[in-house]
Amino acid sequence: MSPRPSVLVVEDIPTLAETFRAFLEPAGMTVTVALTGGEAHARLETLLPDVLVLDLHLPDMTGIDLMRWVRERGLPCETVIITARGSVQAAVDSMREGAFDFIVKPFSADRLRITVKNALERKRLAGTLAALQEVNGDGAFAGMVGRSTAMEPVYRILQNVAPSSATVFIRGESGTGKELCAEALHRLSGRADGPFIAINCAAIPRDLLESEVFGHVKGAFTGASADRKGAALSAHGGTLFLDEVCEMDLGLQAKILRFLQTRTVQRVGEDKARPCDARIVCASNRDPEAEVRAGRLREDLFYRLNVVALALPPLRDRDDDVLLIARHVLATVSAEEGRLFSGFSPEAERALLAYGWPGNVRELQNVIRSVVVLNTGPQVTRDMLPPEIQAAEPSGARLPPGSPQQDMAEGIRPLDDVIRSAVEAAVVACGGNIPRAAAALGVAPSTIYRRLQGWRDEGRG
Amino acid sequence: MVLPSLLPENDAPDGLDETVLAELQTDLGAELFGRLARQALSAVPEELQRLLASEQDENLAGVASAAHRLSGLLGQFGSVAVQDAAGAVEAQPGDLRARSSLRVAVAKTCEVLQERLAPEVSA
Repeated sequence: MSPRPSVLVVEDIPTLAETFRAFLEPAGMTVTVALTGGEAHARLETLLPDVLVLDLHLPDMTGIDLMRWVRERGLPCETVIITARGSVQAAVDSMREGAFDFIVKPFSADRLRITVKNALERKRLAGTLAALQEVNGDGAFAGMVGRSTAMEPVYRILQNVAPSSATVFIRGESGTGKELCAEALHRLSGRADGPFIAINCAAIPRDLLESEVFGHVKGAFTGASADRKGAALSAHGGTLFLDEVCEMDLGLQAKILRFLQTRTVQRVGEDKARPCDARIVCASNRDPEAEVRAGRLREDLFYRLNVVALALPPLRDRDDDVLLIARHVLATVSAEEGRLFSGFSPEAERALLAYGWPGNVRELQNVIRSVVVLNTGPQVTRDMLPPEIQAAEPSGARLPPGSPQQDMAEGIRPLDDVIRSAVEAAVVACGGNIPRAAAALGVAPSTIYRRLQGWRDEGRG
Repeated sequence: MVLPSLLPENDAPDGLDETVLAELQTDLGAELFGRLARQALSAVPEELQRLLASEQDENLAGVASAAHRLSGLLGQFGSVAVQDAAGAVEAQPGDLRARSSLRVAVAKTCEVLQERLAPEVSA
């Protein structure tokens, strides 16, 4: 369940204001009323509503004045204008000032609810659009840097699933940015104004994990010297991110399952169940299906958590994202460390692209931080990089004579010949180790064996 | 409720939109509808007094404002007559005939509402 949208009704006639409240609250909205423009100013200093329902005629100012006041402060809320018959022109003028829509009094509850829901939807889409515009601009999507083909399905899933309340299971190798992805999901959701609480289940001793997640009361166990709210209750109205969820013991898994089923939590040492509206996003670098088969992850919990599965690609599959991320990290770390790095030399960029990044984005971040700390700018050169990255060469450069790249320069050849050259070169480069050659070529070993057998059968092997 | 002394003696149609009234009753439920109707009716004399005071002070902005509030108060209960008459006053606050028509429309609407809502209003 997403948090209740908030609406500020600004209407000087109390019975009308109460009528609007009565129309909107049963639709799951939290309604606050201001009877004057001045009262609305005061409310808006402390409350940011999703939608402003605004009468054009107020005793101390016009509705247009209030809209301008909201716009000058850049408050991200949509406005629905309420107007009387005969004042429609003023309502139309208000739309030129940025109002989302107007309704002419009198109107039914359905009419107001639909208009306000449409305004809420536009606000949500505006947030998504802003995130997408980031991708087009500096290559970031809701804080995630990269625009490679491999990341497109990730962004598409994030965009589609964020507004829902579905649990999401993020998979990916260590360092691929699973927590960043969970944060992006939170930022794009209707819970963005709520808290984002992350717990790394692998980093907390198992016997303390339950109290970290669900909290405890004073005296619940030795060392519980004070009440503790716990991550789940702290995430009420927002998102609870459980990283490395496969590391959780089976007893706690049962409690997480109960939480997902009842949407209540029970602190350690307390009988009372407390309602908790937190969206669950979890992640693991393990294969959860294998964990289920091995009996380390409850199957029923897995299905609850895996409503939407999202797989983050390793950095080696993200093409030029390596450079986008490297530049982003360089700018951030340079600013943090007070250095003046402005970019990478072409040789350094080639080395970054050639390296395999087994530690993924985290490794890239650490390398760049190390470079920034140990060197002075303005450009990162190849010799500043760690030796293993300096030594990395594009796969083609490592190939022996007769490689596809060399052959191409001599003219176009049949595709099968090119494939055979590539396979043979890979096998030679890997010392005859077929699985390694297959991994380097990005195909299954069976593909290599089948090709080799085929060429032998043709008498060419 | 002290309405008649402020009203001219001419007559006017009810001008009540039954659909709006029925929809509002359904949307709010009988209890809340009755409470809000009672509040609205009890606020009418004060607004009429405000209208009168603005007229006496020749405060045309005040006249228009009072007309607007009357339109809001009774328009929500489907009073098309009050909305139309108030709209005319807001457009031309100095027009004596328009003000008179507004008073008539307000009086008729209040009478009709009181009759319709008698069980709730007297509750």
